[in-house]
Amino acid sequence: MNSRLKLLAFFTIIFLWYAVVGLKILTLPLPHEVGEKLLDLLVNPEPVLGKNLIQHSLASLVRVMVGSSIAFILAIPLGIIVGWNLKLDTYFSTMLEVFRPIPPLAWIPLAYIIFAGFANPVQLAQIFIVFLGAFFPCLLSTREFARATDKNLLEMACAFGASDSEVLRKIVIPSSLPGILAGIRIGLGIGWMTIVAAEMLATSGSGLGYFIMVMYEVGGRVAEIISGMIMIGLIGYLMNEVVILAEKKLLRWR
Amino acid sequence: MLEISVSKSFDGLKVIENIEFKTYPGEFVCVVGESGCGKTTLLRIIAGLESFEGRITYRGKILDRRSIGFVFQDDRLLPWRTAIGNVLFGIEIRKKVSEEDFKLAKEILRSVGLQGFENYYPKELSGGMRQRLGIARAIAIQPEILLMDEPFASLDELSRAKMQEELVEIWEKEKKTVIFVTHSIEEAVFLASRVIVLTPRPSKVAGEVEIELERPRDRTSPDFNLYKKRVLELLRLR
Repeated sequence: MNSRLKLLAFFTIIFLWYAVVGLKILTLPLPHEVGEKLLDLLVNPEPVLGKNLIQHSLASLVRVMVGSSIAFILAIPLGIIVGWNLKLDTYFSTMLEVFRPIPPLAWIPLAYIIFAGFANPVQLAQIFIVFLGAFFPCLLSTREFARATDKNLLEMACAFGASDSEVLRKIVIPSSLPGILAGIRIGLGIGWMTIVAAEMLATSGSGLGYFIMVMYEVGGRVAEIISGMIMIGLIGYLMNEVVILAEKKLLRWR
Repeated sequence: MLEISVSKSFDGLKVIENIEFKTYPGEFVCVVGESGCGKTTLLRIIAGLESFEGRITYRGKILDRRSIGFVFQDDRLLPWRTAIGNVLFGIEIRKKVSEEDFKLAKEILRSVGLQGFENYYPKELSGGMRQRLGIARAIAIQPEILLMDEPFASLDELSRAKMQEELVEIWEKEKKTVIFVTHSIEEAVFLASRVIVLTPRPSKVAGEVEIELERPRDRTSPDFNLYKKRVLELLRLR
């Protein structure tokens, strides 16, 4: 029943698309035309940039993976420590609250200046933007769960004579795991959004964001633009699903 | 022999005036008192979870927290660990877990009637099973003193009676000193070799009743009721 409803929802979108174009409300290529273009671009390089959609996707994915991995490696331990220790939390949170309200995209110009002296400034700046996008949601989610560690379990561990480091390893970290995984899921999602935006703003030579921007600039090639958008949506969806799968496996006890 | 003599205040409010008693090796002591009289606080003090004034000595020395097993009112199991993982928790804190410890944990699970449930998570177990697991975890560290804080309070009457019988069996096998806190007179008379009755706050020992009934005890016998009456009378003393 559920999968039927999902299928129905999918076909409704396709139908509406046909309807909107058929009734001349919008001037867009039809779904099957875009589908054809998408399949073609997956294998054959698009002539302006000389790369196919798989290559563009991989370029974006690598940037997201590098940026968000660095973000997670820093955010998870920091989240656990500040969630556990209220004094450190006040210190670090105040420091980080200064940066958190600044949208990652607002960093783009400054990032280009900061990384201008490096070998590959555009790439580095983009990874940095992804880092900013992924870091805060992961930190906040991890911190919230670490802070919400059941006080009764902490006391139980003390009654059994656990040391501080044992309490951290055996109680606080496992109890934060749902928050860590949620943080990774949200962080990847935001990282993915920021990379597409960041790629639009600079000559990176590859990447899905760059691809759709160039397709616009060379004369509004709508089928190509929509193909790129579909890839962005598809990859974002798949990344989310992979983490949800990991959550189901790792959080069986919940 | 465990010798206890403690007082406790919370923000200037005297909770425990002076509770003083001794327990002998292998004895099953039940502590009864009204709600809010500081029974749980007393156990927490013995377990080292609470500051206090006075002295607690075991065999003439200051009591070491590691010789204590604690069974909580709420089971306080680690939800991300399976049954056997929970039993191993206390052992892990004391030493590196060996193959023998693993066997021991399995054996203990069997003795509390949880064989076959080794790899179940707490959420997959019933309330009674979770309490048994809590008891197994406390026994696994082979404590010299077992502290139990109303462990069956949240169970329905039938499972409660069954758990009491099982606990007596475990205690008869293990012969550990048990200090069991409860507000149920019947529970205390059923379980204890000796019942210590506390006064309302600020609490002190109102009196003791030695329970000289054969085990297994019959809750409906006239003698059983006689003991219940004696405990009740001590509770009513002011």
